[in-house]
Amino acid sequence: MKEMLTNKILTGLRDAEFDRLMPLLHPVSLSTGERLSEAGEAAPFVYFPESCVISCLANMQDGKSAEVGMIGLEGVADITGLVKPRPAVHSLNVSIGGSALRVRTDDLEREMLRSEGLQQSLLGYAAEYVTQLYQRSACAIFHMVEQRFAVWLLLLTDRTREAVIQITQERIADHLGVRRAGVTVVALHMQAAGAISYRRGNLRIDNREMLEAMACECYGTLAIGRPRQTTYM
Amino acid sequence: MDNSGRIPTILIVEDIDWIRSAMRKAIARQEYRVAEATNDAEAFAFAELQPLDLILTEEELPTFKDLMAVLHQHPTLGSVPVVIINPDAEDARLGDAYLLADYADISSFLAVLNR
Repeated sequence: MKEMLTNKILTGLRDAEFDRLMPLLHPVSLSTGERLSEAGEAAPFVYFPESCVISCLANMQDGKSAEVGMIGLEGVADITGLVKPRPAVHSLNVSIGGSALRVRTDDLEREMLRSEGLQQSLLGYAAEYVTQLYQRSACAIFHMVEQRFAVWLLLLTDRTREAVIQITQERIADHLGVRRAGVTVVALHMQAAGAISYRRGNLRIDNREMLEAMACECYGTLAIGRPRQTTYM
Repeated sequence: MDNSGRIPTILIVEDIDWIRSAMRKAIARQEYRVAEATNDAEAFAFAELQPLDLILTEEELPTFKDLMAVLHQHPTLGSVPVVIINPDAEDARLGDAYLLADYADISSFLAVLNR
């Protein structure tokens, strides 16, 4: 079964470790927009995305939200539920629907204590995830919306491995924490440049190299599946 | 240019500088005079000085409801179309405002109005 999966944490496990975990994993189909956990609650399940992409959202009291973390086939949602068994301060939302493998949080905690390989794999991912949070925090402070939008699209399509995604500009605005009108003007500029096409909830990346040129340096740090680029001064 | 030879004036009402500037850039190629206001009070002050043909704004503007309510009752501005660009929506109405999918649609929209 392991050969049929795409999730990097699961496929990276040794066979014996995967075989012990496999009976606890249940395939689920997640819909775009589905809320997997709420702020203030302890999440009962942990998800290993296969084709779906899950967003970790920080929600403000006035109803505004912004994506602070993105989890796809490289990781697990939500890693903080395993290392900090307290109610989460964020919510988990499915940004792109698709398949995942679900395990009960307490089952995975038990298995993590038994399996050194699983523990190392999850800790390694936790370090990657914290890096993502650090970099995206700085990105939100220092970089322009067009650069952040380009990074976000690249990160998303790294995970979906598709050039076309179904998403409205209203939802993009929620993820970036900006107004929809801001996304509209930026998307139209990207479209005029030939980087993307957008029509009524269908966004297509037409020129990925151009989109990478529009992105800030943060994409070099955050891109999955390629050597990390960092800038040290 | 309308039937009387006058160049149409579009007023952008937007409080965030970079969005307002990007909106202006998106329509600046076309044959309009473009003016800017950051809120409803500035918009009304501008309208006292010269006639307007179209108001371009967005529904998340903090003063959007006030703007629409006062425009609705204003003796001269009540007839000025308000346009919101929303690529997610079909071309339609949002209360008294028109929803258009693209900034490029403003040109044909104004042409229809001036017929």
